[in-house]
Amino acid sequence: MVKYGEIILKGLNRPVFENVLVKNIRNSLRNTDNVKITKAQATIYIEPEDTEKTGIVMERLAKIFGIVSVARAAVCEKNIDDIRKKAFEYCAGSLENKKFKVIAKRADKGFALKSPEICDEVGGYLLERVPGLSVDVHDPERTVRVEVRDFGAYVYCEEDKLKGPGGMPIGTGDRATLLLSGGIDSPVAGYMTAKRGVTVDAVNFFSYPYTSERAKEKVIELASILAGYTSKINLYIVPFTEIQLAIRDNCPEEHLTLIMRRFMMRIAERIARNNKSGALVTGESVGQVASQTISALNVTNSVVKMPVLRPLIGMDKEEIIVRAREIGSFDTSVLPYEDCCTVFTPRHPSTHPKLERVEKSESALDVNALINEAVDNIELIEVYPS
Amino acid sequence: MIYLDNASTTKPSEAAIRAASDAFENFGNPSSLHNLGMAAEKIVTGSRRKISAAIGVPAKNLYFTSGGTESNNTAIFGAAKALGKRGRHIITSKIEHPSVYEPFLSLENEGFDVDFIKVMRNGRIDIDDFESRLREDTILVSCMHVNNETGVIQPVDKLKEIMRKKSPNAFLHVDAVQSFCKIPVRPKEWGVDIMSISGHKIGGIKGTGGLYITGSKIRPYIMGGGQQANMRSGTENVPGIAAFGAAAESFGMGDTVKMRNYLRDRIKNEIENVVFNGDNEYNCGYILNVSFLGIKAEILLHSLEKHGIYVSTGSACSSNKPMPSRTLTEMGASDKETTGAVRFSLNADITKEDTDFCIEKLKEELSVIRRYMR
Repeated sequence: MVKYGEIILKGLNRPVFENVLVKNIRNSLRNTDNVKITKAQATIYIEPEDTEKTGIVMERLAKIFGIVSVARAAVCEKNIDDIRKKAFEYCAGSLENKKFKVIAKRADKGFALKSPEICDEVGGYLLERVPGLSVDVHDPERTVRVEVRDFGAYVYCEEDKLKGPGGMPIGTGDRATLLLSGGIDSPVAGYMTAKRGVTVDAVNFFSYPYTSERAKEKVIELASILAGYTSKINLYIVPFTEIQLAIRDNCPEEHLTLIMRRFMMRIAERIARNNKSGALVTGESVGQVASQTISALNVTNSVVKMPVLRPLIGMDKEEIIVRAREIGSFDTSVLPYEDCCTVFTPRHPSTHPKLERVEKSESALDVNALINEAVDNIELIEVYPS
Repeated sequence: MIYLDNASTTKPSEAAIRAASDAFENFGNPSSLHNLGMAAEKIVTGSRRKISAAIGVPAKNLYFTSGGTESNNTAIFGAAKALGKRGRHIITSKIEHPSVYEPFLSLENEGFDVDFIKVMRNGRIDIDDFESRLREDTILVSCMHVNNETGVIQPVDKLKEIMRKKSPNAFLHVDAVQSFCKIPVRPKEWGVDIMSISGHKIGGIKGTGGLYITGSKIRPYIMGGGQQANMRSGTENVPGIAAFGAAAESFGMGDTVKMRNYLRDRIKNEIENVVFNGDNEYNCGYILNVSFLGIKAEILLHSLEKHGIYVSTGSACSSNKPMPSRTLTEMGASDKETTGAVRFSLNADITKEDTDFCIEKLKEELSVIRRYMR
């Protein structure tokens, strides 16, 4: 039984959101044979034909945006005898010597017993038969849930539910383009954007031979971790060495990073336009490094017209790391291949740059020619979950 | 492709591949009593004879392992177990391969007293320092024959003589992985007790190593079915061993030394700000370690790779914090020298044209990188 959260609040659009969620679930389970998926009363029912696969199915579901929880429930006929027996059969093993309570929900109002009566019946039945079981309605160790619904009655233990990521189903929220480095932050930013239902493409800037082929493999691996939540990522690899060398040759050292970021934003916007993507996403957070102060963000933001989403903007590094661990990207992000060679980092970067001065520094370059050259040589990799 | 990373691994020779492929047909277990087993056993015996002949030792003293790392581990832990009751003092150097260095650190944790021989600026161990560290309770000395990073030959032929006087109970272990088949290796004449070699450094295939042991003086490290006179249990890797033997028999240096010296001369004469690491007089003849000052070696590595030239760096770079080479640091090299150190390791396939092409690209890429490095 899959429950979804925020979608329920949608008005007339709700079926649209629900249908996308069902499609995403179907897509995510496409390699698991014979799974029946039905939807009723703000719940999605998923019945694997092979019950041995329930565990795998649940783990997959717990990664799908829009899902709040996944419970493995036992189903039976809608009469109180069957419900009591099913509850005993399904839950007794985990109830011995435990404090418990029963919560019942009667979604099918045609059912003869009211919710408190169902609780009494099921609770009393279990209490008589399970050794060491006691009732504690305030602080139970186990909560047996009974839901009487349209197609049948369902029994499960609250504590065995898997938590889903919440958010909105991917595909309900347009498309955005993520600037994906090999670091800790950008994968988290991508995750947070995708969680709101946005389809995410990714752009990576590759400075071979100043970074290695392994650095590229690492970015692909990070994209593949993200794809675990979004089902697929289009990853655009942009050759960036020529641009970096041109900046290094012609611009003052203190502005190297800022001008480099401006190129990245422009190229990302160009890619976004070509792919019907309506926003850029970065892993920036205010003040984390010199190029992420408000003045610096102003300098890098001013070259693009699209909205730039910065979901980590108010987060501390520690908080970002916690999220990266939850998502599963942290261990890959900290592999040492990225930024191995700091040739292009100024020793004393400007922390409070003035836009006009950076623009002046940049005017030594033929910006469009450099961008065209890079964009013409983009490599597109379609990344799937590993 | 110009492959100049032969100290890391080599391309399997045609003879080795053929031998392995034949051995795949003879798939029997050498321990089986039937004739399929016999055929496999013959392959193992044949390889053992070829390899032992190459180092001038009786075939019965040579055991096959899964590689240089297992050979070194077996030698060190096996000797420590066998002699640990007679003494707790063991000696090695800080320029050893990790498969020697790490077992020594592990033994130190177990309570052994570890001494490291001083290494001189030229990359050779200091013999006088070595002599001064020997004690009556010294039970093991481990020293590599050729250093894998600098190619410098260590005076392993002189060690046993000194040990006999001061530490009569001690075993001498020599890691000859980088020297086997490349320069003369004569463990018997030098009084070496245990010696490690590897198959994939001489055109064999990965996963094959050898261990020479004088008599059965050390404890086995891997126990089981009692194969190889109980010294190294486990069904023999027959195809790998077949390839090892064929590789040892067919390996040749050709013009390797000439080309290596030609490469060195041209770098010396045509490229500025370079430091050669390790004494050239004591070089094994196929390794050249050069520091290109002011650059990060890894960038040069990737720049050369664009042209199909494969080299190696001494230091692995980890997120802005380079891990300097233990060998170069121990030799007293500066940060600049360790950061810019590149290792070229040649074999007989390298022609003069290859070397010229390599020099040309080296100059070209260096001038680009040096322009951008500060």
